[in-house]
Amino acid sequence: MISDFYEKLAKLAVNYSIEVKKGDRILIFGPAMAKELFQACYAEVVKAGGHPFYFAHIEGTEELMYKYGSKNQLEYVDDILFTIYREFNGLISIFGDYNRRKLTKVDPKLKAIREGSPKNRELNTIYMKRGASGELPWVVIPFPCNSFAQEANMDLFSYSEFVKKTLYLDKEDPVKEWQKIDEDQEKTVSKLNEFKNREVEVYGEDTELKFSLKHRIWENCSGKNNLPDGEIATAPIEESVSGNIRFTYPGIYQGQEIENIYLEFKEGKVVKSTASKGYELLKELLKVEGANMVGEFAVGTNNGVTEFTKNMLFDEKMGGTMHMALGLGLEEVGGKNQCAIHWDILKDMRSPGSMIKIDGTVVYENGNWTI
Amino acid sequence: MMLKVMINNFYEKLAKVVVHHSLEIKEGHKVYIRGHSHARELIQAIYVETLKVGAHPYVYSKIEGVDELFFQNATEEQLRYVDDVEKLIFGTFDRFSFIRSDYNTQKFSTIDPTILTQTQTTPDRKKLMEEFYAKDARGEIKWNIVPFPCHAMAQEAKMDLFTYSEFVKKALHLDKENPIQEWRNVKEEQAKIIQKLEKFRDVHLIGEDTDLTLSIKDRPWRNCCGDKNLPDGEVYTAPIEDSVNGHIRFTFPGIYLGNEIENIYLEFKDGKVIRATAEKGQKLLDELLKIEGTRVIGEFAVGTNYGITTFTKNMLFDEKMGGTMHCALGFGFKETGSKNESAIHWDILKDMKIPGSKIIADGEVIYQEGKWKI
Repeated sequence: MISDFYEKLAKLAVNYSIEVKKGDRILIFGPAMAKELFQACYAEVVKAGGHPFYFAHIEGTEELMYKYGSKNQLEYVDDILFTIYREFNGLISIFGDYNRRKLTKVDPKLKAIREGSPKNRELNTIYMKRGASGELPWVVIPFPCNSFAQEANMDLFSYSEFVKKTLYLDKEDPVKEWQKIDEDQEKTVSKLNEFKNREVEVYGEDTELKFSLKHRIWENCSGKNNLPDGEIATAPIEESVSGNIRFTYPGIYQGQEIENIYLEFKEGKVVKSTASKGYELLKELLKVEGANMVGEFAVGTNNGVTEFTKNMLFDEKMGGTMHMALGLGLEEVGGKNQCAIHWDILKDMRSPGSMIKIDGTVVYENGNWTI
Repeated sequence: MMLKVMINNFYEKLAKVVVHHSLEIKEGHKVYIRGHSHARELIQAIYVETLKVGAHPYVYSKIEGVDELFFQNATEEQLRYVDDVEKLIFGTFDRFSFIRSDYNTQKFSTIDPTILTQTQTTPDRKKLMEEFYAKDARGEIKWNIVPFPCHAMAQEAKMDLFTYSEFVKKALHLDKENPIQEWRNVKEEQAKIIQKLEKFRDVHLIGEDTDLTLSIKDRPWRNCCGDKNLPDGEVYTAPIEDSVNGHIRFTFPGIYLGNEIENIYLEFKDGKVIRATAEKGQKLLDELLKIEGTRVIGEFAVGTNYGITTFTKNMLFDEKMGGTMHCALGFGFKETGSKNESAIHWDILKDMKIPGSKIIADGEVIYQEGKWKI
């Protein structure tokens, strides 16, 4: 009944990512349309001896809340959610949509009221704290849907095949695949973390960027919090970023595209920016406090992600690319930049002449690690 | 304006009845809305009406198949488990809207019935529900069951979904301009009838193959007018348990967990079934009568909704059918003074429109061939 795709993905999430144990209380949440994936995750949690509880969001209710909710209703967070975030032992977030543009007409002020309400912030703090300490492991998994396929300019069947490959669900035992990725990447990460001064240089088309990591480390992203995964990430010392970079993929902000982004940095801050399309939006974004600084520098390592699909859960993992995020810094690797946004932009590193050096040693060239 | 178009008039009208008539939702109320995810339009509509009065809606939508997977895979410990979140919901919310629909009415047919009943009667769950009903009896909360027309229910009713939706619409008075007013009228009319009924003491039921006597002395009648069920239209009480004597033939099939028992005939002596026959499903009938308390009548009721003209194998509708009466074997409601205890409450219907059918109370004909005479 449950297709192989969903069963394998659910096993990955339950047994590999958040490692559900007997007696664990697990929340599964996502859009109600992700029926098969809900069923599969639910069954795997039950099989692991856990107690699954789920929230299936009904299409349209979020839009209706923004349309009819008063300030008091928008800010309201029920105690049920606090109980879950304080007491549960794991979260599985199913990422799917029926319309990626469903909230584009909502007044940003209303979004700020809802997302920034004191109760919501309190909830987020609990989530971050218990997530970081390992008490509340969480993972985001994709549900292939027409809305995502549409963004990727594909039909749902081709898109599902794409998703399958990125998750290694085409392999016999995907859990083993991800364990192997975890081990292999760990080797690269420990070599990267062996460099003493950790002075990083990035070269490529229209690109010559330098920054320092000092004591900051590189992190191995291997499917614990995101599926798919495949990324090695760090956060530069904020004020050390200098030079220039051209991003070869469009920057996507809430569905809108900014093409051919070029940035120049001086003492950590963007001092010049250009784009061939969407420049107005880029300028607006850079005005957000903290968004003119780098919060993350990372290299994508998933060679199953072969296409840019305008979906960051996939795009930033693409093998042979690097990405930088403007805004909020990755806390777990020491990032300190504070910002309301964390906006990733991608660059292809497979074009000849692209390389990353650390302390003068070439560690990455033309899309591959050389260490 | 787009929303007016998007949310179908049917759902909007129904949601207004639920929010303003059945549940009387007010500002600040915490409102639990539970339904299958396929009941999207109705969930949306109730959600919006709840928001409009300033309350806090919380949607719990059920995913198809999850319950079956639970029963197929759960250990006994998991079957018995009730999470604190569920206790929080049933313990702290003010209003409960249960949307009734299905994707497959036979979904549990391959699961051992004892597993199902065990889960429902686990101490934690029993306690949860007892507290819930106690709060309800004290008037601290309100709950309501409302239907979402769907293929599975249409299939049971031997109809296509469009015909079935029209049927549901009529049963709910949604074909009328102001359904809320219609339900208020039902309440008033039934209140008048109940006022008269409560004076009676001895009831004599006469009809095809039927001659049954019972006492309702000092037993209160309940006015069902869209508060707890939609559709509604029923007045009921509980007979004095040991007063039932005689025999009765039920003209509609008895439905138990989707199984049909046809042409049920029961003989009573001093309140207990002493003989029971059926044309089809005799074995199941015998099994049911073995459960403690099911040989005694827990409810005696008359359906008053003349918008319900066909039997659809769905008790939410069937028992309300105008011109019918029904008895429930088993558990009786405290509100009507019933003392009968049982794990089940099984309603069976009889057509009273058939010539010669009547109810006589203290010697006076009060109901004849499908109509009140009082």
